[in-house]
Amino acid sequence: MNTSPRQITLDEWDVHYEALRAAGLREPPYGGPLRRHVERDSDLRLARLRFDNSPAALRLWNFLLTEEDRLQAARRDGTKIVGTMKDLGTVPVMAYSLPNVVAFYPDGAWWIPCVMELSDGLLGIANTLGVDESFCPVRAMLGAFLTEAHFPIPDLLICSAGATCDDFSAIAQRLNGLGYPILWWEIPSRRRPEAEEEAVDLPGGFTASRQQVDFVRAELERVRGALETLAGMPLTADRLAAGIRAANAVRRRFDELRRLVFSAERCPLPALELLIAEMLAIHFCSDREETIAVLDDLIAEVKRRIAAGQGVERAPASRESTCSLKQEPPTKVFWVNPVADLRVMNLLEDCGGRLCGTEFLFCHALDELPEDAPPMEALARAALADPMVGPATQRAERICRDAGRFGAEALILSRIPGASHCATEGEIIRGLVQERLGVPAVEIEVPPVSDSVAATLRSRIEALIETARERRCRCD
Amino acid sequence: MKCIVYSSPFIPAEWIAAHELKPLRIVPRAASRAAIPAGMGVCPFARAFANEVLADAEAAGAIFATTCDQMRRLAEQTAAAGPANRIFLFNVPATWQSVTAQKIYLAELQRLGRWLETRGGAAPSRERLAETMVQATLPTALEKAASNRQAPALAVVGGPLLAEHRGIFDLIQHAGGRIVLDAAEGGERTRRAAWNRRSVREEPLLALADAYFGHIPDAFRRPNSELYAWLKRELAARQVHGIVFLHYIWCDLWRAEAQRLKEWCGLPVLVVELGDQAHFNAHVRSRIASFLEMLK
Repeated sequence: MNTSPRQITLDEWDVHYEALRAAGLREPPYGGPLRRHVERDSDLRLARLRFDNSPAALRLWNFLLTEEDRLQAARRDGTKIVGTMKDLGTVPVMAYSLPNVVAFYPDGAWWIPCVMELSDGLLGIANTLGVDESFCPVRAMLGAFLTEAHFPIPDLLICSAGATCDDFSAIAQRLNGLGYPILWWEIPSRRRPEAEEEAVDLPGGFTASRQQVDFVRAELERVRGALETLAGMPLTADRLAAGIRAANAVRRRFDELRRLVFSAERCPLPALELLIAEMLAIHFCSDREETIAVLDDLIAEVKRRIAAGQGVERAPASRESTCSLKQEPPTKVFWVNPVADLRVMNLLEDCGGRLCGTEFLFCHALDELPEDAPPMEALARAALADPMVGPATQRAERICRDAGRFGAEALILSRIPGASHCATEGEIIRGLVQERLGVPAVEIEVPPVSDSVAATLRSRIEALIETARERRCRCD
Repeated sequence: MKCIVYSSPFIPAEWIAAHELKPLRIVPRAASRAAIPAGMGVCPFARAFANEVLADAEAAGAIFATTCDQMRRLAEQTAAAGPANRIFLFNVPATWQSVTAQKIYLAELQRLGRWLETRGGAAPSRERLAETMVQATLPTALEKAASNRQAPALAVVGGPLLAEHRGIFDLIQHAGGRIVLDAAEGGERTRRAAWNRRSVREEPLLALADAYFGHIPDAFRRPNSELYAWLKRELAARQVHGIVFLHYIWCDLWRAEAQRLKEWCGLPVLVVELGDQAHFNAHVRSRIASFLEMLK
């Protein structure tokens, strides 16, 4: 069945799904209509989103929204479950190097209030624990642990500490104080090597001192020991090397997908689906092999669209979105930080934008791990390449490099409500981007359900895009 | 003598002094006309410290500590705004139970030493460091208010306080309370341990690291169980009747402990949130008065 790409509503997906089925759609075991996630799991937000209409996107969404089923299945079949917290991309590579271990990020619970449109009650539980709205929405994780309604309680909890955001550190400590044991490991504040120190190149173009890399490697050795104890088998260098190669197989696919999407003349994949896809990078959504299959489908679809000269059509103009901005080619926008409300990614296209780059706090989980270094050394370097453990200026420099690579015309900094790093880094990033690239930037703050501020968000994004287009005209 | 300013209790004054520099631990004042403006999410204390550093042209250098994310990030902004190499960011590990954490702290002391030399200091010999340490005096425990032994005994618990906000001690006493435990930053909780005399002679730097990193309980430490172990011991020893818990708005590390402390301690707890304002408003005064009335 050949369908031109466009974004469709959940209602439209119901009809489209039946048509695809009738045309012989083949799905993995977790497949099915998107509607069931609303009816079975109360994922109410889906009814307010617009989705890409490809079978590849359907598979992506179904994969994402069935993670709890996979974790429960893992629990039933005796696979050990590791909850990895905060490091966003390093410890899962170690965990998945063991055949009887699966890892996931309890941090991901931060999207539950959005997806369930606050019907989950998780933020209310966090409130009762003294973790109120002055904290990042990741506080939903506390409620998810206490209710045990969203993921099984892991057999082992591992959390990085040190150069992390205070919100998460405080929330994880609160969890620990409630009786959930946590293995803490230290990630030091990354700094440039001093003159007399040996410098080590890190993924992503950063550097660190040999001493810092060695410290992190020693900390990851503690993590390794805990994983070995849990798994009941050694996490050998060979296993780790194989795990790194497999992780790189995933990361290479992300690189290809992003390159295709960001550089295509017409946008072949909507911002929302790209955000969701990138989230698979940090822990493979509890199934590394299936992540590869999902990505392969997406890449194939994107290539097909590019070859056909097709882009994602915007949804039919609603009354409030009929503006002149939509008459020109979409403005290329680089997006910084993930949004607590997925719906805002749809807003980008509504306002006449498209993604040409992202930095969702975990670019180190997209960078290939060094395969020419001993595995633990490679992992330590990757952990230190986390954009959040170093100075905001270094993060901003990387954003400038990446934004320049695909010709960003504007930058959106999505502030995470209550997050300690957002208090100061936005100004630094925006300043450097404007200085280096000369493109306009705007900072927005996105709560878990943004309906009440939707008009403001729209105005700010539209203003940004209008500014970028005026600049485009001047440059032309 | 050139002066080095800092605010974190994890920075050993003796190490700075041994480099023939004057350690000056500052308690910043609320900033009015400030280079770094107040903003959504910015911790008033971290901002005030950064502004004080920027305004202080006399100091040879300033040390920030990574004990909170805001300090870590404001160190970067302060460094960018001032002369190069004037700011040192000391990486204090959050974890403490591993050998690596201890090594990181020790390595940071050594790195700090190299930086102090660039700020006009002189590398100390082992003997000089030991001598400096031995000469340093450890502050005694909080002097108990001699009068009014019938007044409710209170502990003040929390993080760092601006100079103006240290006035809460007077406020409590004027309202009829008796502070028997200062567990805020700068108080008894954040004092280093007494030296191990033998270690000071043999390995003074190790002894220094142990007295600071090995013994100061704080909310930012992971896990922060030692904070509660210390509080349990001290609250019982001082026969505390109630706790005034102070934290700054946007200080996640301490704010998240408020409810846990309430659930854990079994004592009445008054949580006071502080902001950028230099003085306590009527609401705070009224709450403290009510709290004490309830305890009497």
